[in-house]
Amino acid sequence: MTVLTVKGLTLAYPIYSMRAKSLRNAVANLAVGGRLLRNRQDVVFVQALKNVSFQLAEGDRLGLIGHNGSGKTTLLKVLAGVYEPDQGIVSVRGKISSMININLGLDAELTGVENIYNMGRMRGQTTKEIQERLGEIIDFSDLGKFIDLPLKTYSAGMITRLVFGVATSMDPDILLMDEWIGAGDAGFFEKAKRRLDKILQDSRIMVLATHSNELIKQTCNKVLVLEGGSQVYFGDIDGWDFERAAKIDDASEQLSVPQVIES
Amino acid sequence: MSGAMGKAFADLSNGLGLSHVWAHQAYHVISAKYKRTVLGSLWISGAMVASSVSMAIVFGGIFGQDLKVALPLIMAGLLTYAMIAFPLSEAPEAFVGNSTIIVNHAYPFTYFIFEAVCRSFFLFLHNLVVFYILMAFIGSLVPPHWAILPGLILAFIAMFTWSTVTAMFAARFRDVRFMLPFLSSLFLVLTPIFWQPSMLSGWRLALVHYNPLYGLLEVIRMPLLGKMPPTEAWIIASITAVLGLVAWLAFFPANRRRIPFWV
Repeated sequence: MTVLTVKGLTLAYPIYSMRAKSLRNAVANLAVGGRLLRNRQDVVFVQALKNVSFQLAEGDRLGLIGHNGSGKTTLLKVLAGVYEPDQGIVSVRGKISSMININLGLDAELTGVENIYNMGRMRGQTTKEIQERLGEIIDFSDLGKFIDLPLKTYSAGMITRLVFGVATSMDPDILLMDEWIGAGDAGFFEKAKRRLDKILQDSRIMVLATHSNELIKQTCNKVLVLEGGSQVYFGDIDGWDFERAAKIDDASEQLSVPQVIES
Repeated sequence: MSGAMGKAFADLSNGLGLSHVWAHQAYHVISAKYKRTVLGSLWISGAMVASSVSMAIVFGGIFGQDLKVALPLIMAGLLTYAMIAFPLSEAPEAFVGNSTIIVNHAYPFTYFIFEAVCRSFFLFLHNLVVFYILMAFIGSLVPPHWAILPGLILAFIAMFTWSTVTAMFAARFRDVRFMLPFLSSLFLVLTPIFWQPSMLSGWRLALVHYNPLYGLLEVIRMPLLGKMPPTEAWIIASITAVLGLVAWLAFFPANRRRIPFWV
C-alpha cells in the first residue's frame, strides 16, 4: 500500500538580501515600477528541488543521498510540511513524526519533568498521553534526582538524554530524520541505539538524510540520490552502485551547488 | 487562488485545534518570568499601576478632576490600550521570534498569532484584577456593563487579523518590526486615555473620530466603568475589525507559504 507519494515536486526558495528586506527600498521600488529589486542580488531564488518524484509503501526505509546543498534537508522539510511545493503533489497518509530539530519545547527554566510535559505538548500530545509515557521516559533518561531540578543545572549530556528520551517516545508513523541523532556519552550510546532501532522497526515509513553510506546500507531498503536539487536515482538500494558513485565523485571533485535563478 | 484560500482556512482550523497548546504556552510565558516571587505574575501590573496613579495625580490636577474620577478612567484606559494596541506593540515578533519552530516544524501559522493574542488577553486579566482591587480601595467599584462581551469579541477579531498582518510585514520587512512598536507609543498619547474627547476642539477632534484604536478602546473601557459605550465607538470599532478581516483575507492566504523563508 502506498503511504507517501511525491509527484513532480519543484521548489525554489527566495533569499532576501538586506536591501530587499528594507521597507525604504521596497517603497522606493514601488515608485520606480519594480526596477530596483529586479537586480538579481536582491531577491535571489535558489532552485532547491526540481521535478522530484517517488513513492513509498508500508515498511519502506528511504535513504536520501547527496552532497551538502543537494536538497536533502529541503526535501525532508517539504515532507514534514514546513515548505509547500511550488509545483507538484505531496500526499501523505499518516501522521508525520519529524526528528528535524528535536529540541522543540525545551525550556531551561523548567524542571526535567515539566520539560517532558512541555515537549510532549508542543508535539501535539495530550496531557494523558504524556502521563502514560512519563515513567518510561524518566527511566530511560537516567537522570535520578535531577529530573525534578531545572534544566539549567544539567550537563550537556544530561540534556541530550532527556531530549532523546522524549523525541523517541512518540508512536512513530512516518519518521523523518536529518542525520542520525546522536546521544552523548559512550555508555549511553548502546542504549540509545537500541531505542532508535526499536522505533525504526515500529515506524511504517522512515526517511533518513545522511552523509554516511554505511548507515544507509544498514538501515534502508531504498535510496533517493539528489544532485543540485534534481533526482539522479530512485529505487532499491541494490540498484545504486555506491562505489562507482564515489569514484566518479573523486575524479571530478564536483561540488553540488543548487542552481540560482533570476526572479 | 482558491487553493491558497482553502489552505489558509485549514491553517486557521488547525490553529484553533491547538488551543490547549497555545493557551498553556501563553500562560507559561507570562508566569515563568515571575517564578520565585511572592506576588508572582501580578508584578506584570506594576508598571500599569505606577503610570496610571502618577498620570491621574498630574493630569487630574491639570484638568481639575477629582482623583476618584481621573484614576478609574486612566487606569481602565491604560489596561485596555495595552491589549488592543497589541498588533502594534508585540505582534510584530510573533513570526520572527518563533523562527526556529517555523523553519523546522509544520505548525499552522495561525498558532503563533493565537498564542500571542491569548498572552495579551491573560495580561489584560491580570491587570483587571489589580484594577478592581484599586477601585475597591478608592471606593469607585462598579460592576462591568454587559457591553464588554461584544466589545471583547470585536477586539479579538481586530487583534487576530491585524496581528497576523503586522507579524507578516515585520517578518518580510525588518524595518517594520522596529517601527510598529513606536506607533504603539505614539497612539498611547494620541488616543483619549490621559485626556477626554470633550477637552479637544477643532481639527484635533480627528484624533477621536478617525482614530482606529479609539473605537476598540471605548467599547471595552466604558463597560469596565459600568457604562454603555457611545454609538460612534461601536462604529469605529466595527470598521477596525472589518478592515482587519479584509486585510487578513488579502495578505494571509496569498503569502502564508512564504513565511518560513522570511523569518
